[in-house]
Amino acid sequence: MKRTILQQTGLYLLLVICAVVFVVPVFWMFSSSFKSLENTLTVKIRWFPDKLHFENYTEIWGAESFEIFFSNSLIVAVAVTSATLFIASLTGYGLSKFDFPGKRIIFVFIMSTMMVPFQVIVVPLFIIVRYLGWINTYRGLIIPAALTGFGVFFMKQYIQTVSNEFVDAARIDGCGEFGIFLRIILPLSKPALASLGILTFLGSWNNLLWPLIVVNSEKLKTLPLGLTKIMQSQYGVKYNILMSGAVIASLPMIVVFLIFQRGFVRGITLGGLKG
Amino acid sequence: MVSSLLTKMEKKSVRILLHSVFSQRKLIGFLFVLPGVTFFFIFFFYPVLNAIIISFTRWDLFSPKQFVGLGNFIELFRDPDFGQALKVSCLFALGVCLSLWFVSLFLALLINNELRMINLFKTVYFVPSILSLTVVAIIWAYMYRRLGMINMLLKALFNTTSIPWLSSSRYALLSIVIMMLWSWAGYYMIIFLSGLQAIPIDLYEVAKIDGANWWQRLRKITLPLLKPTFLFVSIISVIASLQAFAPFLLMTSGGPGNSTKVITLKIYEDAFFRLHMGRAAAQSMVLFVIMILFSLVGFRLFRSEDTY
Repeated sequence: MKRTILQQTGLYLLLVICAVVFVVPVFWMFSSSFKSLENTLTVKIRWFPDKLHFENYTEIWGAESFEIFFSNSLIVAVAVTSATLFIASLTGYGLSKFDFPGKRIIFVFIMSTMMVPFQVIVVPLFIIVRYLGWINTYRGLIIPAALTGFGVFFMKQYIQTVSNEFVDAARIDGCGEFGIFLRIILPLSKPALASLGILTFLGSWNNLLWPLIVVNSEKLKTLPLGLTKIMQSQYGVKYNILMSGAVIASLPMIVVFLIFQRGFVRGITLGGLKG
Repeated sequence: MVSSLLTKMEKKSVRILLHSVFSQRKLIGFLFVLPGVTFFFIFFFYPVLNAIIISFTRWDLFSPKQFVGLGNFIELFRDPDFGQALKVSCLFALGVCLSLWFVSLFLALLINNELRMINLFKTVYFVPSILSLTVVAIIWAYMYRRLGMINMLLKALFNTTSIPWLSSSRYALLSIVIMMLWSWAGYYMIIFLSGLQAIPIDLYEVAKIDGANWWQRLRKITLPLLKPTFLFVSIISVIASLQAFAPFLLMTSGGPGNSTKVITLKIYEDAFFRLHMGRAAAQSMVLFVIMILFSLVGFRLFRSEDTY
């Protein structure tokens, strides 16, 4: 049954109205980040800045050390993502292609980590990290976040679908076990690694609670912490500055998302299958 | 004689070889799993055990732990602030979950049409989901101001007087629910969409031939067959909402009054400002038990749904 022109127009109208609702706050962030302070406090809506005030960005990037927060966020997210991908695929490979006593228990144990909210372990985790002397270090930010139960589950599900013939052929050719993992399993798992990588990177980039607890030195703050600090400081009312900070924190992720959209969606639907 | 001896020896060596290869493979498999398992022991299992222990003690991080048995839990259930925090958390989770049902399903139904540029709309709806809640909270705190964009827009469109979104205990929680809805709707839309696309298209064809209109098809086919998706969305969104933290810390810090003091914020304050580690751990246990019960009930329903 073909839709009538009227029905199609109606659908597009609804789609556009919804799109406006989703876009306006993001647009408002971009637009306000270029405004002068007076223009952020007007009583009439000004959709566009009177002129592009780039100095908002130079103020937050230089004077408010957002360049440090940015590089910290990047360092932590890259380290967390690489560690998660590597360890999760190692574990996922072991769980899906080998048989050993206790395998089922180990799998259930790892799955159970997904059920426990982070709030439950936050106090003891803080104590462990303090005991290890990792407060205010990159290690403290990275290592406790270096693996997730979801990551292991995700990689296991994918590696299970890799045909055993590849593995056996390589073994007959005399490839070592770790060589098989590096040269056969990892390259064949690229789509899963991409999806998990994007989701992990995003999670790390956006994380607020854990950095808030392990870090208070200005040199180690990540972007969400920087934004929190600025919001609670004298800048709390300087919305133009605050919005340029928000743009710095979100623009990289928006760009990454637009490039790797399919990876995101696949990650969600695969993750959704865990139910 | 010699030949039989040989074969015997051969058999034995083959068996030894097989055996060693076999157990070696077991060992190798275990070695692959070892780093991950070690990680979870140190950074998950051990903290969980500790959390349980700490919840039975009084402890300020510095002096030695004092064992108080169920003292923390008994105190909690007498503490009106804890009851309030539980109530706010549950109201918030319920509000987010129910509104996601409607909004995300609506979006998924819209996106599930074959139209030109539909992927563009899908992308646009999803963008808020990738922003961190910190950023979302900052944008919305700005828009929710007394003379902020939302009040100005409402005044221009409907000529309403300005609403004290975040500064009144009547609207504060609702404001944050609306914000979360904006932030998460696209994510749950994707989940509803995959549920919709799993429904066999023949069912709709048959219904159309029988003369069922759009509304009847939605009520008699789509909604009943989406039941597992609804359950899944409910479990995930309730658990995620119960864990939400950044918006409350940044937008209201629990106020006005205690109207948005959710349990995660209370745990954070009790642990890291008041240094009541035991009480904080006890509260996190209660939160955990609530989540587990909720997911168990959800999955039980889920399973019974699958079999029929």
